[in-house]
Amino acid sequence: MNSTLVLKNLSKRYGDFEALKPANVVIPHGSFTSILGPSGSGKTTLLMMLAGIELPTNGEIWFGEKNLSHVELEKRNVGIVFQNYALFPNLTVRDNILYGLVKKQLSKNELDQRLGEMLELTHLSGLENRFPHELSGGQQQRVAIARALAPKPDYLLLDEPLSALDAWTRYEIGQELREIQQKSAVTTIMVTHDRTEALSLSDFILVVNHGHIEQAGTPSEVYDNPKTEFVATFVGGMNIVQNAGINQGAMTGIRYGDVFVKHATEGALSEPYTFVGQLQHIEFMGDTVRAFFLLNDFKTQVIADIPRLQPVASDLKVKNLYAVQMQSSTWRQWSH
Amino acid sequence: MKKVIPNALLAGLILLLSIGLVPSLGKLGIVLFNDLSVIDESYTGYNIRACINTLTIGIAVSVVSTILGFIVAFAITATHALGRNYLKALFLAPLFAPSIMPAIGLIYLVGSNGLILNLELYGALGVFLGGLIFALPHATLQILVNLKTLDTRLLDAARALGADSTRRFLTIIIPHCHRGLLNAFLITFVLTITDFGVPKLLGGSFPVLATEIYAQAIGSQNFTIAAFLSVWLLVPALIAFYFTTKLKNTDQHQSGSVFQIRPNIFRDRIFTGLAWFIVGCEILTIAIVIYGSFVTFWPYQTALTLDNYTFKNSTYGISPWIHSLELAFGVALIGTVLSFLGAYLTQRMTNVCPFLKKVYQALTTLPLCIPGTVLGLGFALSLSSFAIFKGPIGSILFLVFNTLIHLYTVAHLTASNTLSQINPQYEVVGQSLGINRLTTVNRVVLPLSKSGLCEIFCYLFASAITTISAVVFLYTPHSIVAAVAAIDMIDSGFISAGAAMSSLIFVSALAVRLFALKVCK
Repeated sequence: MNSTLVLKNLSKRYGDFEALKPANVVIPHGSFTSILGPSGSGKTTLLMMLAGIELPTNGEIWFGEKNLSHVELEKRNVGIVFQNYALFPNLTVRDNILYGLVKKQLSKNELDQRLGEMLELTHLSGLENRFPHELSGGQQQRVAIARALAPKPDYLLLDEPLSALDAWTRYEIGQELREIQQKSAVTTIMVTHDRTEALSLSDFILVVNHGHIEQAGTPSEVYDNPKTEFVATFVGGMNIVQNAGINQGAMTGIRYGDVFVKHATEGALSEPYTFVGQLQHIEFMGDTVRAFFLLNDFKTQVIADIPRLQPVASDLKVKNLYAVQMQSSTWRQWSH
Repeated sequence: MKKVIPNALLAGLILLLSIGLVPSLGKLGIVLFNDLSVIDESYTGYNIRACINTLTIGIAVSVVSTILGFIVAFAITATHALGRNYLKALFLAPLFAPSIMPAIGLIYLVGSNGLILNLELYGALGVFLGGLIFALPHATLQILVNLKTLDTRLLDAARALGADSTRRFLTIIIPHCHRGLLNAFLITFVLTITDFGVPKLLGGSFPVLATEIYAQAIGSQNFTIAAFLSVWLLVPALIAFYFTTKLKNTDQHQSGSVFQIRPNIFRDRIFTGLAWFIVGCEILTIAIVIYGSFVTFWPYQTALTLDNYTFKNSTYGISPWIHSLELAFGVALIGTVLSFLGAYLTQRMTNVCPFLKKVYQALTTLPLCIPGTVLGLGFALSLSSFAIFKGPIGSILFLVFNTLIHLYTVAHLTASNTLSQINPQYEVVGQSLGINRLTTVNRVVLPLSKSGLCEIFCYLFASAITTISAVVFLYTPHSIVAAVAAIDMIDSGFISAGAAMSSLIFVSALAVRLFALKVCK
């Protein structure tokens, strides 16, 4: 069954407050979709409506042929992984995972088989008799995912699954999440405020701000062709430049990583869209050096992320002059 | 349909609480306003003295028990005092005793034939000392709980800034504790002014309101004056209650890290001595009663005997103890179930009517601020004539109902507190897996609430079996409870039999507690 998840004019109000403005989105079947936005943007409201914990004020949610808009949580067949996992602390891993299968009147063999599948999928084999407090954070999360997937939900919701973890485990567990999702092929929707997470893990991203879905698209669409200034700046470091020498003075976005910096030789400065910039300040970012320039119009500020291995990276001195190049292929524009 | 059942259940609980509270308080008001001329009559020197005595003793006991309670709590949580774990268990002992027990203990130890001293105990001194021992564990408990929540990082920060231990004590520990101290003060104040057992046995010619109300209502059958005096008792209790709720609202949750205690020989020795002296006095006063219950004729014939436990000088024999057990188990069982149900409905159900929720919450806080004496008098005036409260079973039921209402607030608060510590998403998780709410409650929420439920059960049991102030207005020969029977026996001169009856209460309450601890581990 190839069923997409469709939001039709979906909106939510709390009294006078419009938590989600009417939204129309098609979420591809089997995809890993992220709802990305700052806190208070309405992303959690959207997730709660997909879960059936909150009911929409207006509009509809369709899964394939099924109208889910007013289907209660118990009947919706959706898996949820909460931020703090909400594992039942008094039940073993096994009983947690099989919790949702009790009603289905399966034989012991069928239960064991499903348990085995889930343990294998989530790399938890051998831990089935432990209690949640005897597991690491990553293991607890995988139990929560196994529990949500065991009853074969139509789609899976993840509420900021990585936000409680430190930077290193976050990367690892993010990769695991992605792997589990790919293997199970369940349509998965994750709420996050971390753009790196959203860009690296998802097939599809909804960028939400002030209760409005500003853009829906693949990570590269959202990154390379942002439709609004908010999307442009929120998904990655973006200079907003207004300079007569660029794009005929129209407001233009240029990613930090797309700015080329060279030594201010005559040859470098003669190339198109290249300006003299004075280095104001540098920040060491690890793989790159972030350099802040003031161009020779004494107005335009440009930030460049320079890979460490570029010759110029090891020779940056504040107050010195450099050639700053912003090629036309990197210019981004959006409607206002 | 889904909305109907929870709302109906909550409405049922509201109805039950209202039946207990509205007619009894209403009737007190009616009695009062029907005959306003009595009000002038009640301004006698004697009554005014009773009022002043009550307030004086209340303040004296609560000040001293707060200070002593702080010393014990501090020794347990913040020092390396010797035998801290024993202190922690022993200071609680008087919680399982009816208030007459410390009173009997004082008579044995420091009365006119006392073992240690011979004091003129009857009067202010006796009421003060008895009240102090009765109130002390309550004060200690409040402060102990409060001290445990101190964020030790504050102490580390102060040490890093060069503050010595005195300065840390004055600038961090005391400010942190001020809520606990104030709470301890208010709770012991209400406890002392509303207590009936101690002044009944040790008051002598020192009148206080609780005994005066009883004398007016039961002795002189003058219910109007009794009603009026109970307003005098109600007002300070209400004021104290008002301040306690203000404290609760501003209480903040801090990280519950455990005290990192550095040894300090001087401090540790002082607190070992002080805390053991205080707790020792508590224990001695209770223990001597148990010992006394086995003595043939205190203090002249010290041979040990079981005779006192036959209660042959009382018309009721052993039956008051049976009634007490019926009362305590009834209140504990019904109260645990109802308070948990109510807390669950108001806290974890999103589809109950907000108005009902508010009414229920208001009704649950009301009983705490009504002294048992007042509630008992109200029940006696308004509900005792109902047919279902007549006869052998009915009269026990009457006491169960009254005690249940009287103790409902703390049961409700404990239940709410237990539930609020359980992840609110468990039922949602269950529902998302297609499992209905009741199954998740049964498989997850209830097992996780086990220790909270035990806590409520034990509190209700111990309080119901030791309570006196309300039931003295309500008992019949079919339902006379152990604590009241003990007072009767002591009044008739059989102090050892009274001690035996009190010991039975103490042992029953303690046994239930220990059993519950075993079950809930």
